[in-house]
Amino acid sequence: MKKVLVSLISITVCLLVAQIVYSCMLVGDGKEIRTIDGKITAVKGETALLSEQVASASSLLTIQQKALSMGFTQKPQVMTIHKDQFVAALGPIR
Amino acid sequence: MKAEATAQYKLELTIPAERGSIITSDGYPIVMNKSASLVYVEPKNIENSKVFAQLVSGVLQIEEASVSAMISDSSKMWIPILHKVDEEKIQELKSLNIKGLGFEKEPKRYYPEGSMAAQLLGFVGLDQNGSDVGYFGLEGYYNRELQGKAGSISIEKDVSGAPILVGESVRIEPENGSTMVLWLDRTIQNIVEQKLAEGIAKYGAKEGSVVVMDPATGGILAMASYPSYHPGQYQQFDKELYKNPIVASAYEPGSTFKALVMGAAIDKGLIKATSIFEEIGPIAVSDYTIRTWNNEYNGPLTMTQVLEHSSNVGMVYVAKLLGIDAFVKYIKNVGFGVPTNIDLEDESSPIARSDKDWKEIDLATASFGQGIAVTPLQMVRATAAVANGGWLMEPHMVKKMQDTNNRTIDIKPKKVRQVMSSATSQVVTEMMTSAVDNGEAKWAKPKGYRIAGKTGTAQIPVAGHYDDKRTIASFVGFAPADKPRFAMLVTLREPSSSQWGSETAAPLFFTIAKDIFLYLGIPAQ
Repeated sequence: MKKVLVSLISITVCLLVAQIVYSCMLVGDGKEIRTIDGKITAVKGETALLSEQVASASSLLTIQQKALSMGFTQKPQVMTIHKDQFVAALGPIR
Repeated sequence: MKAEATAQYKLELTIPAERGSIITSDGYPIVMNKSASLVYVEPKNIENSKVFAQLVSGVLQIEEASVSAMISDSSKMWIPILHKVDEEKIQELKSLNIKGLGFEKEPKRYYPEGSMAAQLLGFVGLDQNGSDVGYFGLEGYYNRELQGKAGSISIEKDVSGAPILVGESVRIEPENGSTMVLWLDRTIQNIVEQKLAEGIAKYGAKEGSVVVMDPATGGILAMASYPSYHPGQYQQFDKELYKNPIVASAYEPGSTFKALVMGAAIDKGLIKATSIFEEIGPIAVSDYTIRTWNNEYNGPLTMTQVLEHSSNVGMVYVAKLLGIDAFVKYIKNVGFGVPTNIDLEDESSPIARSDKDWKEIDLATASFGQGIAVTPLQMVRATAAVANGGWLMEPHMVKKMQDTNNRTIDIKPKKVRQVMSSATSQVVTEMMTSAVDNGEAKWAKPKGYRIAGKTGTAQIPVAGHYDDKRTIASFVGFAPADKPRFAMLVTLREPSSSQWGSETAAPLFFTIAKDIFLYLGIPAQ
């Protein structure tokens, strides 16, 4: 009986110690959480910055400026051919 | 006391919601967020006030005296210096390692296309509490959907301020604002804005506007006015420019109104396109005499020719056949006198004259678009009804909304009512096509395309009378006439090169139409 009682008390003490150690570890993890939160914020910031750069680079405003600087200053003349029109005159087959 | 005690062991933060983006129909953002920060000062931590003021004012481009004044009050814990400072400047300030200077993230609106579509987008400013709020245009109309809902976090903290995981914690995630996908086509908007600016310079107009609508859906493909402003720097512009004149300003449509009046009379079976009117001279109405625009009279004219010659006396004849009651009922039916219900904050409609106030002379002048006020949007919508078989559509800017959970809400095109039969719309389309092919503006029409349209030159009412020299030149139409892809209205206020719509607004319409044909891949026939 005494042995059982001692065993139970030992197990309880062990569990209490384990819980205290675990809680202490969790308390310490708060700093790690803060670091991770900081990293998430930084990644989000980088993603936002990339989105902004992509939007800026693909904007008509930028494309137009680049096209002008590359010498595309005149619009090409476009000739449309109706679907019923032949692109070349058909001659007799020889 | 309780709050102070709680603040010692609890970390309570607001997690701001990200404002939704606005995207054009071709998938490109026209408004989005960019990273920016609030720059603040903690006066107690400043080492050298003079150096601090010099460095900060240099980077932020604020007067040194203003910064010095801000930091002089050492009783305050912190003082905001400047909101929404760009990331490049923040990095520059951080590199200077100035003691007492702090930063707090706060997103800023970014416009990849610059000032494009400013008056329909609106802008984001601050309310009385310093929170972001949308004003005017889409930002104002959809402010609630765009701004989302802020979240919060409440967690116990240790002595260094780090969160304690075993402690109590409540976290409410923010709901970011919805993304708006527009009917607006970025390329058509770009074409319209460029050509409008060129047209205003070429014709020496004071103002101008262009609106392009898809007649089948009521979706707005492009909408531009000049002068305009930049929504990212709205404080630097006159407040008068914030309102979108296409939905908020009224004008007299002049002869562009004639095609609609013809439609009413044909729909009632009072005339046909081939009915003859004898144009032999001016018409007396009450105490007034109505003349043609050039005071020339062409004898017998078909109704189609009445439109081709833009005959005022011919239109008075048609309006008399209709009568006041039918005329008033019709103009209400095609949406004049009431807002169109477009999803833009600044829409207003000129108040229509009450039914009992209509006199014979009012009917006569309204038949050729004088003495009646409409908004450009009402005018293009009514014309789009001719293009789509007679259906008045509800105009819309937003095609769909996407929330953060990727749920999409489609805003379906809405038919308001049928205002003329399909047969009538076809007849009016042919008459308008003929008015383009044989009218005053035929010289400017692109070859190989069937375009239905009508020119207009309305005198501007000044102090109770009309000023001959000051006009609003306009052209309304749709193309291709057989299978319309767009309806468009061009208006130019007080053009100085010529007062006539046929010599200013019409060529501008055709120039824009040519580029749209090319972009949409519509070949000439």
